[in-house]
Amino acid sequence: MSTSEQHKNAYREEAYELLSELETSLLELEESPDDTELIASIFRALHTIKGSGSMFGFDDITAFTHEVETVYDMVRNGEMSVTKELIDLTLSARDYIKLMLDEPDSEDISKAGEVITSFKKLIPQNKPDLPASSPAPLSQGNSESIENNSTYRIRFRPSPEIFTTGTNPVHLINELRELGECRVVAQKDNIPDLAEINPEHCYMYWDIVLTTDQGSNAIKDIFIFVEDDCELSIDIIDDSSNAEEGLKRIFTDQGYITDEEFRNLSGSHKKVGEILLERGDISTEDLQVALKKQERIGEVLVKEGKVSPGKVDSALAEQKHINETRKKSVKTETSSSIRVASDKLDTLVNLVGELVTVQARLTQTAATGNNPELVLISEEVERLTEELRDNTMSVRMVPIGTMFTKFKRLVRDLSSEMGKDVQISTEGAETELDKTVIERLNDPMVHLIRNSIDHGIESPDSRTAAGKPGHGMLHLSARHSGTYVLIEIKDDGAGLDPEAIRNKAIERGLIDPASELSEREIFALILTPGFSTAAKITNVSGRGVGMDVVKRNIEALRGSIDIVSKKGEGTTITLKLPLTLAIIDGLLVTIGGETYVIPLAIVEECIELTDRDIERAHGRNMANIRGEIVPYINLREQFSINGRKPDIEQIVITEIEDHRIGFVVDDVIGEHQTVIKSLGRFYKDAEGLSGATILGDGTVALILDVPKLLQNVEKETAVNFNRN
Amino acid sequence: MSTAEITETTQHLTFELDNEVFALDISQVREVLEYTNVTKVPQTPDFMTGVINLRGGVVPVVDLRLKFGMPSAERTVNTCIIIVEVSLDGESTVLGALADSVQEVLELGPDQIEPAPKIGTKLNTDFIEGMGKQDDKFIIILDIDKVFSTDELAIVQDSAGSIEDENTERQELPQ
Amino acid sequence: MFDFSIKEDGEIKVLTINGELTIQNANALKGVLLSTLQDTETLILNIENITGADLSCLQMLYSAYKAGEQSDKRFRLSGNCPEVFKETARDAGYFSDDGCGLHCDKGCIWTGSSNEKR
Repeated sequence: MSTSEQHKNAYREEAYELLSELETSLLELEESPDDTELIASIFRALHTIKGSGSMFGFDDITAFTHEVETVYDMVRNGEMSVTKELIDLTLSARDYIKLMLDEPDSEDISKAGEVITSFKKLIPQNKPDLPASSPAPLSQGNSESIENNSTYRIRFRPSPEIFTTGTNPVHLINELRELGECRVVAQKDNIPDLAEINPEHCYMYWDIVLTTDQGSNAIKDIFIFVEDDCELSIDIIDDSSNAEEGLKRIFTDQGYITDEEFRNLSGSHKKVGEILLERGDISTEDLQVALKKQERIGEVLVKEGKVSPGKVDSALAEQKHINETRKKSVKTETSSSIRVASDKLDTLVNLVGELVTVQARLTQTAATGNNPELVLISEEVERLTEELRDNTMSVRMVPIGTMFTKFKRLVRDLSSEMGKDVQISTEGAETELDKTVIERLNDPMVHLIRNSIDHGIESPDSRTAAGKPGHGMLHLSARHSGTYVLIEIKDDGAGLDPEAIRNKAIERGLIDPASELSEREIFALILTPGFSTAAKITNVSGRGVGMDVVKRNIEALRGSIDIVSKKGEGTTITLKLPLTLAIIDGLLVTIGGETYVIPLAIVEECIELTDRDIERAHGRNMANIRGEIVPYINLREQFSINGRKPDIEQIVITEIEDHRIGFVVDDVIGEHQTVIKSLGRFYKDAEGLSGATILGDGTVALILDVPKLLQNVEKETAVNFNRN
Repeated sequence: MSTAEITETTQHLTFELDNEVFALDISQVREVLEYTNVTKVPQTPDFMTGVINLRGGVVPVVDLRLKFGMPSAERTVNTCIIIVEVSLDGESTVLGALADSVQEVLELGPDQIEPAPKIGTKLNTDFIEGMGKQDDKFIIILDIDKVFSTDELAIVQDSAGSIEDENTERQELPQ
Repeated sequence: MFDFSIKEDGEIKVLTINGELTIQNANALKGVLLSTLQDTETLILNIENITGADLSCLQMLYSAYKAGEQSDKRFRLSGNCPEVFKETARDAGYFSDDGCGLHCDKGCIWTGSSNEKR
């Protein structure tokens, strides 16, 4: 690959990221059209796409984006307001930019001109059309200066006569606030007694802590008209270079506090005493004396009359301010992390998987050998492997928010397509899931959302007729629950009609007319193959590709679906998904000399099954567990495994989706940390197995696909019923 | 690849199955392993011996004897697994082929390879890329991609009478 | 416009100010504060009806508060705090959430800790 190709690829990657940011910001802007920060970030994204585009020869993108940027410059300057139309247009402009990146030769790109024309129509008539070549007002230095935030300590002591000059110090302070994050503390210790006060004199002065990217000259400029007769000091106190180590040394070396205490305080980058000292409000001796008192330093100093409460407050404000800006910068640092190709991550996970396998072998060897030192080493390796595994897995974790954002767009497009008014809200966007899970979750989620909008949420008219607000609500949320993530898709639409579903299921021979089913079981029927409740086939759903596909996809991720609905009030679909796909805890069992793995998460207990138990059950595969009848599957029969079964077999009782079911195996060996390996294309038709894993002795064990096995058995039951 | 394309001298790995000598293009062979413990995957045809652990990866193993309709044989010290890279539905897949024994790496010039005979062989001629000749012995050069093509696998699976039958039955239900 | 009324309620005097609490009226404010503080233990200043506020008066109120503290008197603000007063106090770094409440502990404009976030 040539260097310029590489650069182009880097640009493309950056542009894709910016485009998705742009989309997020636009959708947020629609909700809060006055958010100047959002407008600024949209502008920045456009500006960067344009700027880097011209550097790498994407001239058409540059030209196109320039037009859009021009409009957003006006929005930014308050010359245009944010309307739905503008957002619509910008979203389609975004799509065109993406198209130009994806397929530069596509014929559709020629239509981009129409978008530009529409943009131009939006520009208010009383404003002169901006010249096409107008330079972007954001100077080239902009992107750097954002990162160059500095924090300043400003003490502003105006002349006592300032009131009479007609200058209001408050206005000056407000101008400072325009520059950045700002904390202002008025110092009042010079205000004289009421009897002596000259009402027209200003006795106050101000301590201001300001974090800005504008540099100290910008601060000075504000005070330019008063600087001749006021005291003004501007000190840089935190230029993001880390002073923490130095501070730690000062505090710990002198025995003020221990290392540990310092660590407890970490986050407070400067101590109040330190700040007061720096400001010259107290002397070093004062500080030392106060520190020895082991109380809150500010309180001590005030009590002793060393410093006025206002000074301490001001120092506290500074401390707080720095802490908060620091936190923010830490946050920015982490989110601006490095990019790693995902196949490198996959390789890493594979290697860790192998390591886990080897480690299992080491542990086994160490345990059987007679070498205490080896046992120690193996324990150490085990600990490290576990940590490494957890770390690697966490690297693969990505917040679900990226997906949610995509859905915002989807909902927007779908609802206008179907003439429905749907508002989407999200919650828990920061919830993290394995990247593979998120990737494979996309299609089922799209399907469910489409279903909600198409079948669930009614048209505005029928909603109003039903006494509901005209716009429907769709709520997406994600949260952790143990080693699972729960994703909820909730609408306030028409809800499911259990009677209608039941009748349809009977009509289709899916259930026995006499069978008594709970509401939940009835709702679960819509996940059965071929079941579709839509009376009208629309463009987006109800085309045969039913909920059963969704169910299959979710089960392939080792997840499950739960449906709760109330007629007329809405439906909530909850997806329960494992945090990660790559490694699970498993229970090792044997059947006919081969080892199998059952995911431990669903295992409830193991019980013995003797010939006598079998006799007592009169040929039915049912076990009696403390009075409850639990059906079981004999895996030996199910898998047609030859050989003699042992006299005493074991039943592993599992619970999935509120069904308890047992699996009969020869023997239960124990727990095993299972690195899931695919069986590959060659065995893609293998029934009832979801993968394989490698055991400590290097042999391969097969992982049981419990939901699938259960489904097969249920199907067979249905078939039998049908035959009767 | 047809024999017409074989214009250069190519290296082949020869191995034995039921006293017949077969050969594989060496570029498709990754390595040769001693026979190890193979885990059988239930409800699969007999020729699909199972899966093995190849340096942390799960690799399927096929018994070529059974695949070619030859009688099954006892494992001996010479039994080995030839790890090959085949193209399955256009995707490259690694799998193991069980052979009675591996013999040697043989160079065969274009003049030493003849097209596959149309008749007179027990083997499905589609599997044969050509016939090599060494001294007076014939060597069957296999087209390993064809041997493991999914069509082939599916046919065998159906005839093995697996649960596929039940599936067909199920599809006849009123939907 | 600036005028005021004083209501006595036992030990307590309530001073209600109407109009602008700005520099134009600062002298007048000083006068009324001085005289009312002189002969009461507790002075409550009702600022509900003020229509303006500026720094000169803020510092005056602080001065009155300080004077009260020093002579063991109580000086408090009361009444629904008008937005204009809150805004001035906030902008000037006197911020407090309930700067006009009767309680004058932490967070009050008199001690002046700044919690603002913009």
